[in-house]
Amino acid sequence: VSDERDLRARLSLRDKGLRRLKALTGLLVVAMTALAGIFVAIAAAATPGRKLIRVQPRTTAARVKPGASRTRSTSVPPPALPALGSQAASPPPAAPAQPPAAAPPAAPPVVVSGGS
Amino acid sequence: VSPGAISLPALGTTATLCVGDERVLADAQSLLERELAGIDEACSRFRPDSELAQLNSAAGRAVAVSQRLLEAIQVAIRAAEASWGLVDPTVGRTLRLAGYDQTFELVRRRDGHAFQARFAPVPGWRRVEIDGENRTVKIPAGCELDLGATAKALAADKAARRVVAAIGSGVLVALGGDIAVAGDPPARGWAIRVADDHAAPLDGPGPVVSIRSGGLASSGTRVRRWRAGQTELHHIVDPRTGRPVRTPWRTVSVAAASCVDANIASTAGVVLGAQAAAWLSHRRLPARLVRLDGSVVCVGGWPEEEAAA
Repeated sequence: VSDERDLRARLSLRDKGLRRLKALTGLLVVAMTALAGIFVAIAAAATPGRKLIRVQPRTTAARVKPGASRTRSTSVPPPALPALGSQAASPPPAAPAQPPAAAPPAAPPVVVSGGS
Repeated sequence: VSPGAISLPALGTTATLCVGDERVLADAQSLLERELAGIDEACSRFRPDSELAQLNSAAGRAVAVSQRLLEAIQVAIRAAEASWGLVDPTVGRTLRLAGYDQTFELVRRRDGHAFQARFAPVPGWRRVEIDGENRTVKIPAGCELDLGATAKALAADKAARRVVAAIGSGVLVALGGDIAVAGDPPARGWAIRVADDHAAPLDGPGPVVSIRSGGLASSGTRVRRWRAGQTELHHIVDPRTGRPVRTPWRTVSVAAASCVDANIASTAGVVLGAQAAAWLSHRRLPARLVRLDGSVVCVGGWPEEEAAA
């Protein structure tokens, strides 16, 4: 009788351990799923589908000066909008020495500037 | 000394030459015609014997080019760099597919109702390979260059400089809407009427401004338009879409240190759209922008309309 009790107690202990192990496994699965969700959200926020790529023209531009060594482009990024304060690789169009002035009425125009 | 002027058809548009001394007009005209012939032979997209046509048909291979075409391509690449790709010479293919595939005179005559426009992505100026040392250019397969945006302005700048160097007279060279001046200007400067179309009459509407150096260029969507089925297209392509640009401006005129710079800025302004006025102002470029409804914005020291009209 004593052996039988002892056996039952050990079986009960084993079943209890198994239940604990099962509960722990379930907990781990839930935790892993939650962590995966968090990482996916972080990755999605870091790389949105319509990310604006800022191009660095100095490193990819075709060199155009005579005598310059041959260079090759490395990528074909879409043109990016110029930011107001940004500087392109080439100097921007330079302002004239003097801005245009309103012509006096006595000075008839010699030519028309318009779309062509 | 009385001034002299002459106009002649060239490069699919009108060339106008003005000199301060009419006695040198013939010599100046000869220099201008030589420059125009050279740029046409090198840079025309529509002449099968032009260097550019041969370069476009050899896309994918390095091609030896003349100094003139090399310079024109270098200027076009510089325009692209300086405008962050808004003025891109690699729009040639989509422009051709859209219907601008021959001289504009022929495009205009075509029955556009039956024409079906197509469009292609713009490869981008960074894919143009230039070997200045060996004077070769390679464009990727499927790419076609169009130098229309900058080659005329370059020709105007060069012709004006040549006339001054050879003759000494102050000079104005206008190729379509692109104007370069060099040498001593008239006492009141070179008076220029600004309009939507360079072919507008001298006494037509639009303000008159005077410049004393550099260049003045206008770009607009009211000219070089053609029909493709039920829609109407124009010649200024947005490299970001490969299609004629949709812009709030019908004409943008800019004064700059050279005609090329003015052309880069005016074309970029049209393509840039709503931000153009601020962009030009930030770069201290005098500019006049005309909205589609005809209202005007002046920035960068361009004379206000009341004073200029």
